Amino acid sequence: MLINLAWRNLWRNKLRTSIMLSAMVFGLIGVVTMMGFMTGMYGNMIDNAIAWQTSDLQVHNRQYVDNPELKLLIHSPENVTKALASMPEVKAWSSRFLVDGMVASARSSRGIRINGVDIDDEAKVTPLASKLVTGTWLPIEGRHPVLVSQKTADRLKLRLGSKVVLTSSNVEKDVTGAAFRVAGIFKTPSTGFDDGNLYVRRGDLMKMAGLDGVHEIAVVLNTTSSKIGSHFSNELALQVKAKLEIANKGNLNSIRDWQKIQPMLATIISQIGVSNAIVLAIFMLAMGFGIINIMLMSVFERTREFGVLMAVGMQKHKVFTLIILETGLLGVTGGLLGVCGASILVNILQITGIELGGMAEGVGALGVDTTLYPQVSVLEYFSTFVTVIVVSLFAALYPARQILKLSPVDAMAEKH
Amino acid sequence: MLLKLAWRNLWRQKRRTILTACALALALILSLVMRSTQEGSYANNIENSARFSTGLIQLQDPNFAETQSIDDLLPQSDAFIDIAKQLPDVERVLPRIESFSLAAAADKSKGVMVLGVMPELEDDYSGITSKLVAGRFLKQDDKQVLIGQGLAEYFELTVGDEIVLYGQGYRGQTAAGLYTIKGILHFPVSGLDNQLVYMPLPLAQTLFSTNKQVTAWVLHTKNLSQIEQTVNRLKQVYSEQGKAAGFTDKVNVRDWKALSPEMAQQIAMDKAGGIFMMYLLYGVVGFGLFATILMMTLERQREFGVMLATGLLRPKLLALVMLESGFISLLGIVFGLLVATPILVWFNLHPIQLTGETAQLMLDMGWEPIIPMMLAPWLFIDQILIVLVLMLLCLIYPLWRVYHLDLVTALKGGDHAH
Repeated sequence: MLINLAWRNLWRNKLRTSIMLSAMVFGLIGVVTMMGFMTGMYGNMIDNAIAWQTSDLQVHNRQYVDNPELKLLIHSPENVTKALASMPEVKAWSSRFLVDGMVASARSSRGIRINGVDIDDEAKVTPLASKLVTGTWLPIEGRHPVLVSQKTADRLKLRLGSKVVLTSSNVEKDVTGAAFRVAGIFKTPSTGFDDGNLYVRRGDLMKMAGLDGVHEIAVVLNTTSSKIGSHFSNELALQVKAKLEIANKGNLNSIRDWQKIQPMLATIISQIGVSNAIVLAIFMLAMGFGIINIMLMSVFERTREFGVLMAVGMQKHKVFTLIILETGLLGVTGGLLGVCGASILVNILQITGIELGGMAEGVGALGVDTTLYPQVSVLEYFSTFVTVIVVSLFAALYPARQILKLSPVDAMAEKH
Repeated sequence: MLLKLAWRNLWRQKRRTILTACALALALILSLVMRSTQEGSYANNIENSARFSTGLIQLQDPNFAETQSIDDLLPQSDAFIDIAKQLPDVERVLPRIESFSLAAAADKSKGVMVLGVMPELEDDYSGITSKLVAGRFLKQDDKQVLIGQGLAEYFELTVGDEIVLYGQGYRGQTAAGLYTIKGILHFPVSGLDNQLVYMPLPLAQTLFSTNKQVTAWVLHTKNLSQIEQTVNRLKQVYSEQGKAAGFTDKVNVRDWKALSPEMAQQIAMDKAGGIFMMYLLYGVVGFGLFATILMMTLERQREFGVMLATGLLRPKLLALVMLESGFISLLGIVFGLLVATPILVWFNLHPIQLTGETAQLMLDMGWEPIIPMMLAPWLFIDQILIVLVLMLLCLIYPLWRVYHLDLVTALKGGDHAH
């Protein structure tokens, strides 16, 4: 009964109600899209970091993590790989030999990390082999092939087949170097990564450094990017880590999941929620003021009417409920329309994507693709919707109280 | 007369006036705080990256931008730099050599960035001595170097230890040297902190065998907002006056946006997000405002009808409505500014220092973990203008309704009379 009355009351002044609904729809679409954009951007950043840089898990010598010395190789890497091979959830792994050094062409030189990789294994772990700008993935045959990034190639004026000299210190602490030929040029979403990494065959690099072994084993799991549902979770990685620790005798190797390797990623995940909540709160505050205003007007216009209702015997709490219901219905309608509108827009944007090509270098520094797809989870739609209703109900309290303070006689005598 | 009437009308509906003004004030405060935080961090980041790395403007060899090669140099001579110095907006000029080389200590090696500078000039510019965490600062004729804290930790070096630099010098010569560490610097930008070797310019020139040449002249201007004009002037003077000395087409003038496009674009992106949010906020508040003003006029049709019937001219009635709304926005603006200004001034003087995870995140992204706020008249003026424009937009329809008010229906109480 009351609901019916409230709904009808709401539409007595169609113009006013429509304006308020428009405000809600406009604001909700904007806010949800913005939240989706931010989640999409950071989600993409994390996806890329896992795919290209950290993988799901990495194994190092325990000391190497703090102090990346050439000598600090993984203890008995064959035990690690044997354990990995027996686990069904592991998709692939790659053993790497790492050296910090210099890359120089006739034109210029840069500091760089030289990644010595096993060709087949690495191709399964990172998308590198399939995302070459030109050239081919490191060949098995041929003398000293190297993959450089597009950025390094530009800096050093390199083309396919160009010669570069890699230098570093070797195990005897002498400076050593060798000439390599560019076999391919790659480009990852992160300019920082591109700036600081190049790839050679592990065998070539070990010969140059005068040492055999493995510095790093990167592991990817079957469930891609450790993504469970729409939330970033390292749960699966932690399970595999626990199994690996059994094979890790004497705790000599460090096994880290992607959140440990780049704590920044974990921080970002927790930041997304916070920043989205702030955006939503600011917007709700502004909307709350609007609703209070509208309801105040609508209530005071009808002071006499409420006086009559009370005089003919409607209990005060029912009048109160009526006002609350009116605002609640306004909130539900606005919230529903807004969330529907937002989901339509977000779905369209998920197909078309948001082009950030003009900002290529800026997004590259963050490790984000130039086309972004906003991400909004069902939970986020739902919590936005609930927030709208809660805010509307709160906004109704003040106007409702104002009416209840009046006695029926005063209310009926009210003029405007 | 009209003014007085408008003012009194406002206070007939106290609550509504105050609430509307509050909504406006709230939007104003939030946008002001947000925008000034944004602009403040941008300015801070630009300054930081200017002072501690790229400078606001650099003169370079045209090829250097792409190659960053030690072969693409500019002369370190008065004849060359005096051309730039004569521009009134150019405040400082600093010669620098920037190149890469392999650093080795114990059995570790790493590619590092070698920066050759005039120590006194740089310190005067950036106050870099305050970033010294150990040891002492350089003098011009020192044969020692400073290194970044991150690099020192990587190599496990302290003051007095030695570091080997090995790389490529001018025109293919070998650049190698053994240097004692005189001090350790902590840079706010982690990219630099982890790979910087800082040495006196003459020493760098000896290392790379460049003689009296530099890779860049760093210029600092008096006014951050006038950089564009200064860059254009510089291009002009170098092509005109450089002719005699043979500098034509040998100089590339780059501002900070060209020197660090990553930062410029991240700023642009962040700004776009902030402005989007701001308009969203004003949009929501605007709808509320529109509803209030519209109701304010529709409710009072009978009143307006009486006024018109007793001889008030329609334009005057419009003026009355506009005045009333004007008062509301004025109240909102005054109230908003009263609240926002102290907040902004306080955080301008005492920037928020971030700690913990968020601080680390910002450091990793190359930002300094403080949130300074900018106090600039244009920020305030922008926001106030937006509020006024919003008000005008909201007024259009109600005014139209009032202007086309049908006297007879209005006197009966308007269309929506019960």
